Amino acid sequence: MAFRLIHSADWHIAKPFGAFDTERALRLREARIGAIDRIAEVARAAGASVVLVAGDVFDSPGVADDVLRRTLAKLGAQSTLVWHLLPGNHDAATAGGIWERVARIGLPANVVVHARAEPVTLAPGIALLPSPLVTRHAASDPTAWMDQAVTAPGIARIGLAHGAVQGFGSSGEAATPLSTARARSAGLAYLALGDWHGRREVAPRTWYSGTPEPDRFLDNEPGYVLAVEVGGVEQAIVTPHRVADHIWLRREISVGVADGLAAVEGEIAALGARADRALLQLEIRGRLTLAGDHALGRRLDALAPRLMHLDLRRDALDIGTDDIGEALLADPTLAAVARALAARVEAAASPREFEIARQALRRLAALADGDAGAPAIGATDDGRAAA
Amino acid sequence: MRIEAVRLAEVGRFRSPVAVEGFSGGLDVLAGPNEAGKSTLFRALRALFEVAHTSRDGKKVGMLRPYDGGAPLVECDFALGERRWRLTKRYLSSPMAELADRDSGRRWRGADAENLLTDMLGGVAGPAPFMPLLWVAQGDAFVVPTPGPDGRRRIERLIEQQIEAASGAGRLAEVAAQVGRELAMHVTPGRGSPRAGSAWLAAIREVEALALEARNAHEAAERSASAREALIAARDDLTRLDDPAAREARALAIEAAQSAIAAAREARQALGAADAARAAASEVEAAARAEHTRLADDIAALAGAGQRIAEAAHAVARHEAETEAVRSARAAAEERRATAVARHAAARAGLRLAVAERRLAAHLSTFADAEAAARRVAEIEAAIAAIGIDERSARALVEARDAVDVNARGIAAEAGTIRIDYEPGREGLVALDGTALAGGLDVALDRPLTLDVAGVGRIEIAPGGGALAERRRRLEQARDQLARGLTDLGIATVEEALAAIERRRSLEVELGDARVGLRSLAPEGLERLVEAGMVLAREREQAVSTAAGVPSHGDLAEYDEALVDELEDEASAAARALNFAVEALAAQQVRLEAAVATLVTERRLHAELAARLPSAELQEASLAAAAARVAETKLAADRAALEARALRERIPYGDAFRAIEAGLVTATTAGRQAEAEIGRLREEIARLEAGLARDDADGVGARAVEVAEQLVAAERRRADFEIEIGALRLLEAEIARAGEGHRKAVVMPVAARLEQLAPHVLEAEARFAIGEAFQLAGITRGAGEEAIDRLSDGTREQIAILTRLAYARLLADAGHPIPLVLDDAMVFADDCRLASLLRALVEASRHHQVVVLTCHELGVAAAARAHGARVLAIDDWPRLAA
Repeated sequence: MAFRLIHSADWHIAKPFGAFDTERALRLREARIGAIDRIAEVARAAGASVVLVAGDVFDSPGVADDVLRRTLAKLGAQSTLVWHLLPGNHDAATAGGIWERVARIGLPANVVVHARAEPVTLAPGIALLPSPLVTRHAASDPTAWMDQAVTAPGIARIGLAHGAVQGFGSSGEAATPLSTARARSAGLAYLALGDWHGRREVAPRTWYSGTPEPDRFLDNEPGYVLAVEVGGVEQAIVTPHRVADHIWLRREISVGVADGLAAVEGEIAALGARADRALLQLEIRGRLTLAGDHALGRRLDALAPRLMHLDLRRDALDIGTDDIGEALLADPTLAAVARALAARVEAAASPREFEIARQALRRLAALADGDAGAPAIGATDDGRAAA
Repeated sequence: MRIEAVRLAEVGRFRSPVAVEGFSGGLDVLAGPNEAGKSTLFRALRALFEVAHTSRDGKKVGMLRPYDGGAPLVECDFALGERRWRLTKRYLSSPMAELADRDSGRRWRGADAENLLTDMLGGVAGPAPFMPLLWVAQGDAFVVPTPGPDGRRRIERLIEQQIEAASGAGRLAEVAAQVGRELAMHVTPGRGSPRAGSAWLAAIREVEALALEARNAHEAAERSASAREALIAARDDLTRLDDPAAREARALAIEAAQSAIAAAREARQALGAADAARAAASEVEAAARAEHTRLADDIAALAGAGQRIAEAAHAVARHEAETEAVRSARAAAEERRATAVARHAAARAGLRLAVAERRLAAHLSTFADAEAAARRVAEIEAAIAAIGIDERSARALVEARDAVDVNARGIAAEAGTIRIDYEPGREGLVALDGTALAGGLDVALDRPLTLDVAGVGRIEIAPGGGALAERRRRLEQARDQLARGLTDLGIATVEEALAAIERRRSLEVELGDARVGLRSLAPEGLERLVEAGMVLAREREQAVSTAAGVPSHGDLAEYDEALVDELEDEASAAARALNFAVEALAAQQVRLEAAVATLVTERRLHAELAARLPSAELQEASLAAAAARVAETKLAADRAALEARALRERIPYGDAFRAIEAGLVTATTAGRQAEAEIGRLREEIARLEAGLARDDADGVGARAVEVAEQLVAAERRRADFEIEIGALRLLEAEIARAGEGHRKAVVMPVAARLEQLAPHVLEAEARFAIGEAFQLAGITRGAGEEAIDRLSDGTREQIAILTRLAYARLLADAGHPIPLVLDDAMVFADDCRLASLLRALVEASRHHQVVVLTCHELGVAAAARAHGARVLAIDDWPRLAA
C-alpha cells in the first residue's frame, strides 16, 4: 500500500519584510503563517497524514516567542496530521537556539522536530532519515550519513534535508552542499529537500518543494507543496499543489516600438480582485520620448493602486532628449528650458546628476502637460509602490 | 474705462452741488482759474474709486469735508467695457454707496456695491492698480512714475499676454510657480534647508531614527550571537569538566599526591628517632671521655700535691711579713697628716680674725665722718628757716613796687597841670584843697581839685575819667599791696627783702653740697651704719673665739692668704700619702688571704685524692676501665650516626619534598577549581540561557534584520526625495535662466512706446532704460546716457508725462484702456513743448481717454480746443439741487 505524505519547506515564518511599509509587511508575514492551514487542507485532500518540512520553518533564530507559540498552536490544531520539522540554515539546531526554545514552550503531540541525524520510523515500513543543520553554515554534505544509515530490509527510506544543490542554475541560500546522487546512493525512495524557494526536481526522486508562500520576485515556481506517494523502496509519485496566497510577479517589458505594458496591464486586469494580493516587479526597457515617458508614467500611476505593490525598475529605460514633445515645443520658453535640461542629461558627470536632470526633464514635461500634482515619492524607480 | 460725468456736493469748496458733465472720452479739458475747485474734483474722483464709503480716513476722506462741515457726496458716470455705470458715495455722515447699471437699471448698495466695484476695478482688466500711475495729482507730474507692485504685475501680465499672443501658449510663469510651490513643500525659502513638517525632513528623520535603531538592534543581535557562542562554549566546558572520567582522574591525582606526602612524613619521623639515638650515643661517649680525663687529671694532681702545699706555705709567710711593713708605713703617714691639718686650721683662724678687725676699724671711721656731715646739714637747714622770706614773697614785693612806679609815672605823664601865676600882690589868693597855692608851680590834675579864690569863690576841677582813672585805681591797688607785703614780712623796704633772699640762696647751695656728702657716706642713713657696725663687731668676736688657739695670736699681720694656701697644700699632700698607705695595706692583706686559701685548698685536695686513690694499682686500674668505657661509647655513637645518615639520604628534602607538596596542592587545587568552574559554568549557562530567552522572546535577531531592511528602504526614500528636490531646484534654475530673457522681452514694450513718444516732445531720438520694476532708469540722447535726476525740471516733467502716456498706451493696446488724468501737470513746459505735449495727448486720446485739469485757460485750454479737445466747465448739479 502506498504511503502518502506532503513535502514542504522554507516557510520562513516571521520574515520581517522590512523593505515594505508596516501594513504590507504584516500582511506578508501573516500569509506565511497562514500557509500552515492551506497545507493541511491539501494534505487532507491528498490523503496524507504526514507533512515533512525540509528546513527553514522560521526565518531566524531570533523569532519572538509569541510567534513560536502561534506557529505551534496552528500546527497542533491540525491534529490529524503529524508535522515533521527539520532545522535549516535559518533556524539551525544550535545550542540555546530556537529549537530549544520551541522545546521549552512545548511541542504539540503531533509535531516532531528532527534535531539529530538518525533514522526514525515514520510509519510501518517507512523510515525517515533527517539531516538537520546544527550550524548555520555546514561545510560538508549533511546527507552523507544516509548512505551508511541502517534500516531493516524492505523498509522504504525517505530522506529529509536542507541545502543547496549545484548544477541547475542557481544555488539556494544555504552554503550547505548536497549531493544530487544521494537518493540513489542511500537507496532512498524520496529525498525531500528545502532551501531553494522554487519547485524543482533536481534528480530522480529528489525534489525541492519550494516555499509555500512566495517571498521574492523570482520566476522559479514558488507557492507549491508536493504530495508524494511512496509506492516502494525506490518509487515515489510527486504531485504539486498550489497553496500561495500572494502573487509575486516579475515582468520585463519593452516600450517604444512595442507597447509591452499593455500585456502586463491585461495580466493584472485578469487577476481581478486578486490583484490586491499581487506584487509586481516591472523592469522597463527601451527608449521613449519625453512625452512618451510622461504618458507611460500616467499609465503606471493608474496601474499601481490596483496592486498590493509595484516595484518599478526603469534603469534600463532610455529617455530620448532630442524629442521634447509638442507640449513643450508649443511654448518657446519652456522648450528652451527643456533643451537645457536635455543637455544636462546628456552631459551628466555622475549617475546622480543624470538622474536629477532626467527627473527635472520629466517634471517639466508633466507640468507642461498640465500635471500640476507632485509625484508621490516612492512611486518611481525605487521598487516600492506609493503608500 | 471712460469717465463721462463727475458730480459733487458738500465737497471741499463745493458746498452746493456741482457737476462736470459731457466728457467726450477723448481729450477732455477742464479749465479754470486757481481755486476754481479742479483739484478738489480730482481728489474726490480718486476717493470715489479708491476709498470705501465707510472709511473715515482723515487724509483721503476727511479732507473732502467743507470747512464748515458736511457729508461729502461724490458721483461719477463711467463706462467699463461695453457697460455704463453710475457710482455714488457719501462719506462721513450717513455714509452710503450705490453702484447702478445705467443700462439695466440694476442697483447695488452698501457693501454689495463696494464688493462689486472691487471686483470690477480690481479684476484682470480692472483699472484700480493703475489709478495711482495714471491719475496724476497736482505736483505729482514732476515725479517720473513707477508702477506699484500690483500695477507692475498687471502690466507684466498684459505684456506677457501680448507676447504669448505672438508666440503661442506661454506657460513659463505657471510652470515656475508650480515648481516653486512644489519646492516650497520641501525646502525653506532662504537657505533651501528641509522645511519643518515636510515629507523630505520626515524621510531624513526616519533614516536617522532607523539608523540609530538599526545600530542598536545590530549591537543587540551581536550581543545575542556572542551570548549564544558563549553558551555553546560554556556547555562544552561543563561537559568536559563534569565528565565522570575526568572527575575520577582528578580524584586519583589527589590521592597519589597525598600518599607521597604521607610516605615522606613517615620517613622524616624515623630520621628524627635516629638522630635522637645518635645524639644520645654521642653524649654517652663524651661523658666517658670526660670521666677518663678527670681520672687522669686526679692521678697527676695527687702526684704533685706535696710540692704545691710547700710552695703555698712559703707564700703565706712572705705575705705576712710584707703586711706588717705596710701597716707601719700607714701609721707614720697618718701622723704627718694630722700635723699638717692642724697647722692649716690655725692659719685660717688667724687670717679671719685679722680681716674682721680691719673691717671694723674702717667702718668706725666712716661712721664718724657721717655723723659730722649730718650735723652740718642740720645747721644749714636751721639757718635757712630763720630767714623767713621766700622767693615768692620777695617777688610779690618787687612786682608791687614796680606797679607803683609804672602807674605813678603814667599818671604824671597823662594828667594835665594847673599853674597859677599871681600878679604881684596877689600871691596866695588861690587855695588848693584849702591850702594856698604858690604861684609859678605846676599842679598835677591827677585828682579832683578844689581851688578857693579868695574874694572870688571856689573852683571845682574834676580830671577826666577813662584811662587816667584806671591808672589811679591800679596805683592805689599796688601801693596797698606793697604796704601789706612789707608789713607781713616785718621789713621796711623791698631792698631788705632782696638781701635776705640772696643769703637764703647761698645757704641752699651749701645745704645741697652737705646732703650729697652725707648720702655718699651713709646712703641708707646713719641708723643703717650703726647696724652694720654692730654686725662687724659680732663677726670680730666670733673670729677671736675661733682663733683662740692660734700660736702667734699676738701678731695677726703675719696671717695672709698665701700662708693659708701653703698650709692647705701641705695638709692635702699628707692626706694623699695616708690614703696610699691604707690602700697598700688592704692589697697586701688580700694577697695574704689568697695565699692562705691556696694552702688550705691544696691540703684538702690532697686529702681527698689520697682517700680516693690510695694506691698506684688502683689508680692504674681505674684509668684502664675509663679508657675501655670511652672506646665502647664511641663505637655506639658511630653506629647511630651511620644509621641516621642512611635514613637522611633516603628522605626527600628541599625541592624534592616541596615538589611532592606542590603536586598535592596542584591536584587539590585542580579539583577545587574544577568544582568551582562547574558551579560557575552552571550559573553562566543559566544566565546566558535566561538572557537568550529574553532576546529570543523579544525577537532581537529578527528585529535587527527587519530594521536593517527598513533602513535600506528609508534611505532609498530619502534618496528619492533628494533626486526629486534636486530635479526641482535644477528646473527652477533653468526656468530662472530662461526667465531672464523673458523679462527683457516684457519691459521692452514700455520702452518702445516711450521711445515712440519721445521725439514729439524732446525733439530728438531717445532710448530709455526700464528696470525690472518698470522704473525709468535712464535716458540716452545723442552723446550718452543721462541720469533722470540730472535732467532739467521741465524735461523731467515732460518725460514723466510721456512715461504715463506710454503705460496708458500699453494698457489700451492690451485692450484695457484707462483714462489718463492730469491735474495741472504741464507747468514747466515752454510754449513749444507745451504744444508738443498737447499733440501727444491728442494722439493718445485716440486710444484712451485723457482728462486734463488746467488753470491755463488761454494757453492750455485754448490750444487743446484747437486740437479738437472738449473743454468742460463746472456747473450746478441740477438733479441734486432740485
